[in-house]
Amino acid sequence: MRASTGRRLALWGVVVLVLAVAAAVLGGMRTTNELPFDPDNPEDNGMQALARVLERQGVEVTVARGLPQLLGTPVSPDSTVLVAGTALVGEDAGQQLSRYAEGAGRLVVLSPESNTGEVLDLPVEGGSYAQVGSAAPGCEAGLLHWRDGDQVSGANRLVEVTGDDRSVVPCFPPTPGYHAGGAQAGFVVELPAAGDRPDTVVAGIATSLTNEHITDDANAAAGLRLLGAHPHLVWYVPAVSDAGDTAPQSLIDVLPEAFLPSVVLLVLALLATMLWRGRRLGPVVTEPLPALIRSVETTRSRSQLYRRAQDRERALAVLQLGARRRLAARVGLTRHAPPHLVVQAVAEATGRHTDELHRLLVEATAPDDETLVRIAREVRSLEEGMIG
Amino acid sequence: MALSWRAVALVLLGLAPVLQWPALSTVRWWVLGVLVIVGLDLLLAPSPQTLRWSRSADQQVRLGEATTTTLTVTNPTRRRMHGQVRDAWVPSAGASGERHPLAVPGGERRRMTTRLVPTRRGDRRTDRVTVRVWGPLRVAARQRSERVPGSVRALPPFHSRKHLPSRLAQLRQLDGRSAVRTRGQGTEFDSLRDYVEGDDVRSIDWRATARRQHVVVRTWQPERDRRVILVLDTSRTSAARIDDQPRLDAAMDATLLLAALASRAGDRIDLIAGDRRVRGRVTPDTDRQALLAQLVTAMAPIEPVLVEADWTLLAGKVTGLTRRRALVVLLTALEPAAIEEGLLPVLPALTAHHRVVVASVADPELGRMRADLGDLEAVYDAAAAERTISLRQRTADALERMGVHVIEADPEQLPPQLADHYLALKAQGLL
Repeated sequence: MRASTGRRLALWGVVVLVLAVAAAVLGGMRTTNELPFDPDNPEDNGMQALARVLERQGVEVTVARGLPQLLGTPVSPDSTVLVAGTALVGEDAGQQLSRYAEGAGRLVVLSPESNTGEVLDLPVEGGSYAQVGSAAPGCEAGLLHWRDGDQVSGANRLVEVTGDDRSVVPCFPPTPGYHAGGAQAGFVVELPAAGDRPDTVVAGIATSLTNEHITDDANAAAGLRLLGAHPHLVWYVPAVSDAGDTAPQSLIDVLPEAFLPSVVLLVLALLATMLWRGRRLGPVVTEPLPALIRSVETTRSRSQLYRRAQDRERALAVLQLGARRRLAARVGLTRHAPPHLVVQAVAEATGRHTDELHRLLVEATAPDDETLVRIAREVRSLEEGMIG
Repeated sequence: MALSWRAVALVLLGLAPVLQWPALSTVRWWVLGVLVIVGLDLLLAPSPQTLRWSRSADQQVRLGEATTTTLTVTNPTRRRMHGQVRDAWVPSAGASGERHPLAVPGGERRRMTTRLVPTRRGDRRTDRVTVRVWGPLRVAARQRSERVPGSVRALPPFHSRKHLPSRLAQLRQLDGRSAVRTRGQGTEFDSLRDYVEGDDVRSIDWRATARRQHVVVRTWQPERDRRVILVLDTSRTSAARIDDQPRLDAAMDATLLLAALASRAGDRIDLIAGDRRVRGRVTPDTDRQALLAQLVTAMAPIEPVLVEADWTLLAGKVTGLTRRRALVVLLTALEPAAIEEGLLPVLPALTAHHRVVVASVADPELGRMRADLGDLEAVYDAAAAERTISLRQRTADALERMGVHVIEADPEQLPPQLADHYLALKAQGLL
């Protein structure tokens, strides 16, 4: 009784342990965030380092994942709105984003795509560009007051200015003489406030600001300059649902109204079925089983003992003794006749040589397993030849 | 409590109102309604406790044959009862058709018959009788289990009875119809008859020959009214499994054949079965016809016990039975350790007064192991088997030296060999 109680306690202990481990594993899985340019992502492609430094500098960082969350976040003229990539921002979401940003002090668009100009109504277009080496600001009188030492490396997108708005300032050209031919492009493009639009910076240096590259060159300074102008920072990470044209819905909204109650009812019916089928007509009857031991058990153990000890000599001697006794009875001697007499009598009866019979029936030497098997079989065939 | 398929159907019927008024509250109300119906049905169901049960008398059946047991149920109420009954038996009772429909009008009784084919010797017991009585709507039922005691006794199968007719024929040859030619200790004078060629000259009665004109011989009748004491060892060695049956069962088979033969030969049979204490005992009855039935009934419930046999006790029981010389057959195993420590010390006391035979059930598996030299493992097995056999042989030799005859044979062979040895003793008048 006590033993079974102890076992039950142990079982419960194991169950609790397994649940705790499972919870820990699940919790651990939930905290890992692998969204690119996300302020909570500690991986190489995240921006946790920059976000933490900004917080330490007194900037209050509010993360908004997805458009509904962004629209629910309060915004004021002393806040910066950061859009971490526009690949997932649809036309509809872009309009709402623009309207939202009207209340902000600055709008920063990181990692602009080719659709950036379209969805945010800005005269720019982002293109893929792998920067080699580092780039100097190349512009001075802009919004961000860049200085010559602000070298940036590892930018991933080049922003081209479309249209002919003179107030737009492209900074960080890929090569120092890039603007000489009249090309209006740079890794960072500054657009001063116009109309309802606040000061806007379109920056293709998102990869420079990730945890992996933030310590290269003056990337960290560029990041702080971009995002640290206001005491509040709204960090908008677009979600997949922002790309669509229609308003996002949950699964329940899509299904017919009767679905949920029907499922509940079916689950209850399943429960009733379990009760119906699961109720036994009386308890299970146990059989009082007798103790039965296989009779050859001890012999098998003896065989294993010989084998484990590799006692070939003993095994062979036992086989030879048995054969000698049977042969002795066959040739008219007593069962306990001395071996040499048996060999003598068998030699006379079979006409085989005494030495050979001595080797077969008396000498118990088997240097290896093959010899053991061979001699055992020879002894047996001798016996069968005489008796059969 | 138990539910029926109707309860599930009731829940599923709720799909119609749910489609009509799709809301969770509809589900709630519907389920509440179903629960009320189930509860009402349960409340209105007649109580299974009022049923009265009785069972037919306990049956005896030879192992492997079928019998039936009848359960009678009486409904003392005025209401009709519907439901199911399960007459549960232990699995080795081999019950089939143990589930019965129950339909008893008020004040009536019904009988239910369950077929039993026991798969193991001994007393096989019932477990519980479970009854389920449906409510008026048959949505829910009340269930109750009750003990209605009973058992079926599976007797030893006596497979060796096929050897009985031939042995009885031999016995008839010995018995009076043809005179025994040799004179033994226990033979009795029967009659005088004319000498025929081939008769033993030692049996010529010279005095009678002198009175008549031709040679006359005496004939002797085989001894009658000798005692045969069968000692069945139920200790740990009898628990060993030989070809899917315990050694004890094979020993019982041999016991039955010898007892059947000896009782026909006019001898008195005693059976003592035991290990550290006596588990079963049959003393001779005047009625010889009933002897076999007595024996099987006594042996049926005996199970092997995992203790060493107390041969002092068993030998004491044997010597306590009779002062006359008797044939004592010890049905045990030639297990060197058990024999040398238990039996050998007490054997002289037995052999001094009685003729002792040790009958042991050999394991044919041992012979198979010895014969197989297929591979290295088999050779080691063969060596181990050879060793076991030689140890047993040594034990048998030790017994033989003490004047005990040893018979060791496979389960199939032991009963006829034991019977033959008995007939040989009888023919020589050595009982």
